[in-house]
Amino acid sequence: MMENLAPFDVHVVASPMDKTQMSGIAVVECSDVSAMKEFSTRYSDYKVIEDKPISLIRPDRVARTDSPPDHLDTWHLDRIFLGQRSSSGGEGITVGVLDTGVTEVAEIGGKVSGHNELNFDNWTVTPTAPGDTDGHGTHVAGLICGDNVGVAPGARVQSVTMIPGGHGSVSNFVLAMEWVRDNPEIAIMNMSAGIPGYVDDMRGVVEILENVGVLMVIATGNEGPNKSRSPGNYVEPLSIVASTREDRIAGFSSGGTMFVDNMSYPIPDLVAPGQEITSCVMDGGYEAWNGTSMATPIVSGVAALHIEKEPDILLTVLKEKIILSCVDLGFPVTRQGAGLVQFEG
Amino acid sequence: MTSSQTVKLDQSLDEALANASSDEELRLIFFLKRDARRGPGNPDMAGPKPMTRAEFRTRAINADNSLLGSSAAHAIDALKKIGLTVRGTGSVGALVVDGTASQLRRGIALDCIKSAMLDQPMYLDRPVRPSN
Repeated sequence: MMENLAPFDVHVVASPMDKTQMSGIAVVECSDVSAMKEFSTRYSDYKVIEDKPISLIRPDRVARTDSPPDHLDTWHLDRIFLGQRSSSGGEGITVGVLDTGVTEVAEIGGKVSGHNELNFDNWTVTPTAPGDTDGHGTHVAGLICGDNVGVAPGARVQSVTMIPGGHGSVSNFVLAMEWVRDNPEIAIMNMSAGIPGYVDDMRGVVEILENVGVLMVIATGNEGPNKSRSPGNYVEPLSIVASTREDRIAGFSSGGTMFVDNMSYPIPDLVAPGQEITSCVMDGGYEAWNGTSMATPIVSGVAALHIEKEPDILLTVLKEKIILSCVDLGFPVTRQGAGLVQFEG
Repeated sequence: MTSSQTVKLDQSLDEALANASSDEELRLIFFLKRDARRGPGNPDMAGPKPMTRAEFRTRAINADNSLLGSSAAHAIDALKKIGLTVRGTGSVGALVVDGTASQLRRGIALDCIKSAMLDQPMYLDRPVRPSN
């Protein structure tokens, strides 16, 4: 029908007669406004709208902020605290940050109780100079105990450079796990690394860490749905994905249904804010990053607040408390687990 | 390699051992059978209420240590006798083992070894950054 448009000086770029009929949309070019009005009158069944540019949505933006520390965008804290955040919350609790190292910037000044490196040849974990091989560990530590951006500003972190420059190995993991197991100061283990897929062999290591009272909080990965990493996809740790400012599940969040030993269970366990999350970086400034790595330390901080209240709480009870406190965001359990972590304060 | 040994290996390790020359050194992670790490019984957490989390953890570590027994040490000795280089105490049920393919095959065959895997990279969950 639209091929007779020539009298109105309208050029049909794509009409319902071609494959665009799938969408019920025709794209036409009109020589001027009068041609467009004539077209609208003649084809009144069509709603005519002006073409407009659609910008690519860049959900992965990492933004630098020049805001002073007391005016940072801390939407992640607003979203998880039902009451007031205490400036000393998490006091007496230490979180092991198995990451790229930590640079002790002002935001976390005096809160890093140890910087450690792996010495593989003599199989020891030894104190080392403060420093981050990448920047990731510093951002993570800030979210745990930072003065302005941290969930538990009274907590401390012990840094272990397990993933120097972002690249580690299973042998690094085994050495770091021995150190965590034997270090009673470590109440919580925060980790944002893994091996793609489900690797059953390493699960025994994680079971042992659980036996000795270490709460493991592990990111599932940033590869999107129906993918995950070990050990974050084991049943023992709290597995974490990222939510957005709009309380949606960030598209990069990994997860799905795990089928193990004739049983199935969903990954993740819960969600925490993980998109546009502001924390400290190595030069002392602040940047907003996206990732399940950013959501994970927020849960570690929440766990520190719970343990501070009940130092002898059993891991099973602690995990249950954290999970039961979550608010349902309305997504499938394979995307949100129990929902968004909350703390009453 | 027998079928019982084969089930101790993941596919990548199976292929690596099959393709390795006799003098090529490989690094594997050996995982101990639970019985080979711990003695019988359950950890004893009895005692006064811990006042701090560190006290709680210390008690849990001690309880786990009391069950460790000497089995892990025996496993390490057995692997060393084969000529393997062994790193780790076995306290988390895993050992890092270097050796030739033939040595490693003999190690995997030990009763105390539950499974083995090639040492492999473990990557950071990189923050999702822009391309610009």
